[in-house]
Amino acid sequence: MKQNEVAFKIAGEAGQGLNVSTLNLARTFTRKGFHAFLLTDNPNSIKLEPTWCSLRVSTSLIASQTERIDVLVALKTDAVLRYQAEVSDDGFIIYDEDAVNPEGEKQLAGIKYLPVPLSRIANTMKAPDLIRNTIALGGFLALIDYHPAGMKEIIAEVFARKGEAIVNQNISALEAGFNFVQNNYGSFIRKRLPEENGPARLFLTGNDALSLGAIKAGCKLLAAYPMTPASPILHYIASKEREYQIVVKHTEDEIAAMNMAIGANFAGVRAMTCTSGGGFSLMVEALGMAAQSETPVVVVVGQRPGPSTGQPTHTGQGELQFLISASQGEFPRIIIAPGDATETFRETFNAFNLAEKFQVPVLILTDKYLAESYTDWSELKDDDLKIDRGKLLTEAQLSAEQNYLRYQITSDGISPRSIPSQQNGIHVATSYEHDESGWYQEDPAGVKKMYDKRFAKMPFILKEMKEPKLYGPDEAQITLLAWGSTKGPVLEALERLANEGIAANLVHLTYLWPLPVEALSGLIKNAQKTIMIEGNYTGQLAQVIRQETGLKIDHILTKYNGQPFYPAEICAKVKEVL
Amino acid sequence: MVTPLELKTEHNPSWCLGCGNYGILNGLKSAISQAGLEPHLTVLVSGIGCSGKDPHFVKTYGFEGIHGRVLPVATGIRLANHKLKVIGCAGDGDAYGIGGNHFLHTMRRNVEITYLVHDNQIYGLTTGQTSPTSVKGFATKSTPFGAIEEPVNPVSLAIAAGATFVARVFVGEFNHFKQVLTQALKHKGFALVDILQPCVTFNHLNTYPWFKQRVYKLEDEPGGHEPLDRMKAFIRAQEWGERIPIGVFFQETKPTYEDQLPQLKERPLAEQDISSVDISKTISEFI
Repeated sequence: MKQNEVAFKIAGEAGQGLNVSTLNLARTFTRKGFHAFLLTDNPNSIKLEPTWCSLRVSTSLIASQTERIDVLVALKTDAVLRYQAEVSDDGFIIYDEDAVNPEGEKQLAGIKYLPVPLSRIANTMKAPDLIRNTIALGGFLALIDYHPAGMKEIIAEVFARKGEAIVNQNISALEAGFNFVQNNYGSFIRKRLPEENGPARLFLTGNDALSLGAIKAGCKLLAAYPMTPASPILHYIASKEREYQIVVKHTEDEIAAMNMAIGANFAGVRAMTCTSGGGFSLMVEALGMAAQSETPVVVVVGQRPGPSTGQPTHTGQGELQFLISASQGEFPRIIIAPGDATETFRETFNAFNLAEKFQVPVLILTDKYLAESYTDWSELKDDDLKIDRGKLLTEAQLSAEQNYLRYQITSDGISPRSIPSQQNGIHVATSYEHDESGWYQEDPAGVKKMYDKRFAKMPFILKEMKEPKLYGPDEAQITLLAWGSTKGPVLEALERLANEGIAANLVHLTYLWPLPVEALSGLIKNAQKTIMIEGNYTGQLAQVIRQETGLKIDHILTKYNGQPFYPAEICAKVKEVL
Repeated sequence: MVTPLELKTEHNPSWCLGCGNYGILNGLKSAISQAGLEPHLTVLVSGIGCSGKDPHFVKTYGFEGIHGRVLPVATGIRLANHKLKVIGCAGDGDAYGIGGNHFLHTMRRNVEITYLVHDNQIYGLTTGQTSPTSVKGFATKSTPFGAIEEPVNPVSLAIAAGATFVARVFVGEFNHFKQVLTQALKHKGFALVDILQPCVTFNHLNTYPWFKQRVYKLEDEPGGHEPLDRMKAFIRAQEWGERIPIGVFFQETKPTYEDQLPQLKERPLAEQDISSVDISKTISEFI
């Protein structure tokens, strides 16, 4: 077991409140300045199906979950059988002796199996079955010799709206679990973490960070249809709509959501929609309309494995090429795949600027792993974020116009934009090919001109695509490439490889389209050996890189089973190809 | 007040000679004038079809979108700036076929949109296929052996779905059409105006004379028609055949969707300052 770090997992079934309990546990530590990473595993069911939630707590910065568990809490027998192999050799399994029977099953050497009468304690307290989590968490805190006061505070806050009786019941449950382990397993108790690690840290998901970025960017309308893993954005912004004067509309379908967001942008407000691949499929026709009418719009696509309904509650990176080519015809678009919560916040803000500046659709590509996992922040850094509305004309500028042309041909391809209610800016925005005024264009020379005008934006867009970032040593035996949320596990892998004397670095891409070809080519050419790590079957970014740069990535590690990458499998692959 | 002539743009329509769209366009310009709307505060939103071209011929703001999606675009505009008068222009295929889902939900929301459905009971721009309002047995390129389905009844559908203003007009009764349209533009809520409009090129059944023989005005009926009575309106809406009623079937006063959003009370979203949104208070909730 590592010093100054603890990995915890609770396993049971859907509906047992595992995520909420683990989140409460996590905040117990992040409030005391610890770093933490919380990963959920939600089955496609509200009740009964097996599920788990894991939490890693550390005194130093951590970028991802880890594969070794120090303490497993098992609420069901099959939870022991499923996950005991993940428990470290010197780890523990706390299980409900009234509901779980690992006796007779193969028990792994080294692991201590600690029965706790969770159900009996709950019964004695006349509390519902759900309270077993809290009892078990008390036991966990005792086992790592961590004071339960912080967790009690959180329980009091979280359950306050349910009344004093429930608060007290949960605090008693926590104490009961704590005391049971103290009294019965005293010999196993060992201090794993200091009591404090610094000022309180923020703890939030990628979806939270994205929502905050959108609010900060002045997003005034969110139109969306619920779809995992993007629904929490809809929920969160809806909860804040009155506070921040935002209209959130749960529409009849994703087609309406996308068209509504485009309509609102046309009328001069920053608007977005959020969905997953299936919903985005329905939005694709309107995506082209935004492009052809040069209406800004921001779309969030939270990936989950497909095709079709696929695995609704799991993760994957299978939509990159879909987004690059979605909708008929050709047009400039921007695709951003943030690598962590900080990037998600900042790049969502930037997405709104880019959409208005270039009058193109901007697609933010996340996935379940990024969207629903929690990480910690020391503070919010947003002083440097400035709103840029591009060539949006003021009433005064418009009044000087003799003959305003909405699609005026300019050297950078971007036409000054008016919005309804402005006196001198009357125009028709259109999904048809058009001339500078917006009138139908079928003259071949004129059609070419307008096509060229839209693509004239590309070099200017490229200038704003942030270059891939190099993590780790400049000189390395092997260079790993990754995009979006895979960043975390790869960073963790780099650290482990370095500890083993292997010099590896990471080229991480957040701005995926248009591909920042020049900088990327330089990084790849400088690498001794390259390996792409991505969460799909075909190696989509590796293909895109080859298409755009002519460079072939030497090796590839793909994963498409619905689970995020774990650092160990990345390390293993690196060693295999070295 | 803007005159119909001032609403004319530099472009001329190229609809077929005798197309009902010419009458609709003229009626629309007159009604905009009559209702006292200001061009820069008016937006015409259209889809695809012969009717989709309307925004190019009226000097107001316009958004010519894609087939079937007039209402969500119009809703987005209206939510972004509720000082704008938003008028939707769609055909029967656009509104009742591909856009059927949006039609249903926009009505129950009561967003203030005046929805002009150019109902010629056929697809014109795609050169003549059966539409959702084509009569049963109607033979076209897509149903050479006659349509098997019963047609959609837009008026009864709208009344059932909670539209707060439901009218049918015939473009051949021009003055009546203008008057109903002006009324619709003044309505505070969702207003459906289903416009019977012959397609002179592809629909040889529902012609001007065919309509002339059949349409009658609701208000001309003995005892008149009381548009506040939903049940009576619904009964009237069932009538289609030898006699076809036109006029305002149903109207009620109800708060609009936008009226019920406190976020819009002070000023439209489009007028809100976004230059420095302070999220510091919210961020502390994540500790």
